Amino acid sequence: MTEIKKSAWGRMRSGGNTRTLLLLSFGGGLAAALGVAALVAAAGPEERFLATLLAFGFSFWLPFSALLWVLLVDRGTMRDAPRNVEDSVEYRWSERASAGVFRDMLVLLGAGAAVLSVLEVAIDLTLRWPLHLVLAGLVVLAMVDFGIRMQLSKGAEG
Amino acid sequence: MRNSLAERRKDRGLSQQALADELGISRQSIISLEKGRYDPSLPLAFKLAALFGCPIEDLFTPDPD
Repeated sequence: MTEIKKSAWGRMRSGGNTRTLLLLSFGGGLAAALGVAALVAAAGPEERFLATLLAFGFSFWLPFSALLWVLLVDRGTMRDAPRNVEDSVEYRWSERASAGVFRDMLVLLGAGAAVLSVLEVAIDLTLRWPLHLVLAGLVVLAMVDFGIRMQLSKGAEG
Repeated sequence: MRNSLAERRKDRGLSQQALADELGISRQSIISLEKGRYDPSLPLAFKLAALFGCPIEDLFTPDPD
């Protein structure tokens, strides 16, 4: 049986080498990003089409590339990737951190909703925050929370 | 849980990385296991016992209450 050469970025599930994997991930990511950016730009003012296309295209490029890489890579061909992830201590930390973030979000969103509804009635407060920024803020908060919890677990059990 | 993992590993001349590769887990897991800060799953404990050729209870000892 021939030993499959491992690399830091891995190889494709379909058998392609690392270079093909990276070309497809970044190339496909760019194409998908430009496609979405074109849709967004077309929906906006015509004079800002190019600026919107470039801004959204650049912003979406790496996330789409990362998504494609995750879908295409065979993690068994990645150097340093443990075979039995679920037996590794990092997996336990991650599970614990995820559960903690879920609890934090429940408390934050529940308490926030309760407080805001009381304030709205009590002092006629109406908040007009852009929803997309609120959601993005929550995502960032959840990610920071996850990172802190992972570090705490590592400090305690590492 | 206390364990004799570090001694047994050294007796066999294995590095932490080599043992981790053998078990398909991260080196950090071996470090945490040896320090007694990570209690392995039952399947992992069986794998360790099989690897060192001893019963699980020889490898792991519960902490006194």
